[in-house]
Amino acid sequence: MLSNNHSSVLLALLLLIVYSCDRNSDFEEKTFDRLKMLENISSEIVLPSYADFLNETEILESKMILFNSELNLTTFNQLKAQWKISTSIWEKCEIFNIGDIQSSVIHNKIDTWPSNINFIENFIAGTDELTSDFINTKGSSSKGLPAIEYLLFDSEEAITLLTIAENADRRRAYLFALIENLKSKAEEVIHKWTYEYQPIFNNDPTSDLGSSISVLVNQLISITEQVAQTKLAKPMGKTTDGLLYPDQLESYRSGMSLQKIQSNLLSIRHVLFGKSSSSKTFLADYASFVESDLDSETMLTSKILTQLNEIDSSINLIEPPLTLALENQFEELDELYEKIRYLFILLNVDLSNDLGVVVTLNINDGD
Amino acid sequence: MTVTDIISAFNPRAYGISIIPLAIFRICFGILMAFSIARNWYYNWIQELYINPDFHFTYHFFSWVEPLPGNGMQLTFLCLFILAVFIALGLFWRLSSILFFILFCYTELIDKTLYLNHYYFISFISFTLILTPAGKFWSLDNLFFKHNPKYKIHPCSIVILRLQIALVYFFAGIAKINYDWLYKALPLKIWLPAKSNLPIIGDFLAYEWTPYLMSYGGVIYDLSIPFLLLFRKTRPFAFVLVIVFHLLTWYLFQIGMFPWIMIFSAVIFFDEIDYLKLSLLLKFSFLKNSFKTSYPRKLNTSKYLIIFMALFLSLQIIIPLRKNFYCGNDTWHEANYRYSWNVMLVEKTGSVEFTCFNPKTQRKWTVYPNDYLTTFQNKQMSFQPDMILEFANYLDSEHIDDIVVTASAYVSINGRFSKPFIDINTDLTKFQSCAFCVQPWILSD
Repeated sequence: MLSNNHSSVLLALLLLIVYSCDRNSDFEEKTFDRLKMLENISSEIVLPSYADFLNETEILESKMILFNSELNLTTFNQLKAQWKISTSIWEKCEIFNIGDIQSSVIHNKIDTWPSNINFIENFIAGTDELTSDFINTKGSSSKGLPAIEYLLFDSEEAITLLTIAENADRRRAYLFALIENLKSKAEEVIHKWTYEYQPIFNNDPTSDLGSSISVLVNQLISITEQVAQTKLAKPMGKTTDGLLYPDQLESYRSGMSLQKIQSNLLSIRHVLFGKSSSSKTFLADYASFVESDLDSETMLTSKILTQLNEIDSSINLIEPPLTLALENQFEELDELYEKIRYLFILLNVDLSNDLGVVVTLNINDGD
Repeated sequence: MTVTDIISAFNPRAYGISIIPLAIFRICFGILMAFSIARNWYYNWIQELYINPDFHFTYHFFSWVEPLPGNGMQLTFLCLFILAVFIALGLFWRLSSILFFILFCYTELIDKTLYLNHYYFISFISFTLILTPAGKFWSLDNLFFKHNPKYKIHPCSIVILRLQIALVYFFAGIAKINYDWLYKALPLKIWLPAKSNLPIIGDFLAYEWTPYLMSYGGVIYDLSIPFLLLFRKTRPFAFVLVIVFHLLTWYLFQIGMFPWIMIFSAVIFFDEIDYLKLSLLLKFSFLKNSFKTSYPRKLNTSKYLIIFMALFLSLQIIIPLRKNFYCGNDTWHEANYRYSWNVMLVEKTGSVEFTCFNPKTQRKWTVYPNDYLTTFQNKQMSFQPDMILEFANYLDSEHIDDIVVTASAYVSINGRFSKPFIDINTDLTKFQSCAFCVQPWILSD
């Protein structure tokens, strides 16, 4: 039994604890609505991006139908122009290859680069019925946006091959099947996000391994790394002998390499800062909130924004296509590369440190 | 347990004590190890961590340790699992414990990337267990080979385990006595607010003072728990604290087996009377024959074993202290950072890429580590200088000509803005790894 004195002391301690936890007390509770932020990212950035892509693939399909019915240069150019729009929009979606979307490998089915042109040519030369179902049975390197790019942009002969050359009918059938398949994947990815992954994404506010914040930060890092290493450094010969490798540029056939990089960077900006018209909270707001608690001398988010702006300025100095810029504007490209590398450090080292995010997606076993 | 008890435990002739705490510890250890090894299959770590990497970061003096080809690693882990079960059952005790220690150390020595404080803890605890008669009680060896159970043992077998566990806590507490931990509540200030959506305790974690409370609580816990566990009167309270503390860390942070290992390790601190009381409380009448009370009797043990154990224990004190002989911030340069019980001490991230130059051909190129390493290896290397150096020398060894390898690395600690980590002008191939020094090419923080 507790004596009265003990009881009084315990009661006093209990009251002290309760008082300490009173939210109106001097002890301030610092919170940031991470669920709201995730909902904003999902509804303002992810869904509109996927919806835009679906919309553009539907237009692409209509342009293909038009081309099939009117085999001329005008409809062919319209089809090519629409592919450029579609691929540019897709690059903004690339960053959302996370969670269930990633495990479904649907992104790979939409955009695996480079294409295996031997496979594609063999399918065209074969006797199988070329439909979307047929495409479904084939590997990622024979379909998606890069395969369509190959058929539309490989050479100046592309229109000839698609209209009057031997096997032109099968070539067009393959192209049509690719576009139909692409549209079905665009529908599938938006369905997967909306009904399968979005409820998980929107309701996991921690920074744990595999959490929404963790996978998003990892994707920001991964996309920046890809842009710097795969899309710039390797074609620039930085990793090899210093010689230029224009055919290692992504989408070099269509001359869309630089625009795709721009779209990737735009998607990074959107996840961090939202679209310019939005006043809602995004990932940078959360990073700023965390930083304000760490008494940082320099706001990381403003550094990232400045870096993104500087990258934009560098891109504006480069005249597309990158295949020519590699020859004519190497110094400008090098400057762009260095700026993107620094953005990578800001994201990979500083942002992940501020948010306590583990830069790998594997579970670990302790410390 | 008093200081006199501890001192007398290192006398070759000392009063015998009950083997029960040691037997319970052995059983818990075996079960936990079996579970821990099984996790490697469940998470596909054998493939990802041992088989997939083309390159492994090696330890000093153990660069010859390599993963086994084919299904060798799978077989190794299968053996480890079986041995852990044997340890729990007390079957072929001596052989099982020796083989477990050898195979466990082998898996840990393959790649420095895999270093974890609790793996190190398991390594030396499994070594210590070999020296004890832990398999002489509640074991299948006794049943199958008709050995008489050993009720009383020389106290050094139990005391050395208690002291080793106590040292882990103590040095983990000492490591936390630093500016960031005490004055800025870092890294908890980064980690805890991110958990504020957790049920039950989430609200508590969002308060500004919570990281401070938990930082100071952590230091006080680590420094006091060895003593609270060692003394009989405070032991039950201490054990409750151990459970609460480690369950909290398990709930808040993803630290795998570590909390469970520390909780179950604490069973060694209880003595025969504690377990007798517990068995009576739980009405475990089948255990009544296990508690043999007898007049205290002195038992002998080899003085060489005692000397060896004392030296081994001394090492456990010297090794964590050695980092104090180096200038600079050890969380930055990481000289002798391992084996020092720096548990959950900093939030540290980094990034590194290498530039190679062949003076003969005048060719210069960039190497991205992710072209050679797994994501996990790359992440671990990015802020650990000895690994950066080893990888630079590996790049050199890949070429017939002597090449110059420099590294551009940035590191951030506890939310501070990233800083250059390595002197970008230093040719790392001119340096070799050094077990006991801070490399001159590491820039100051």
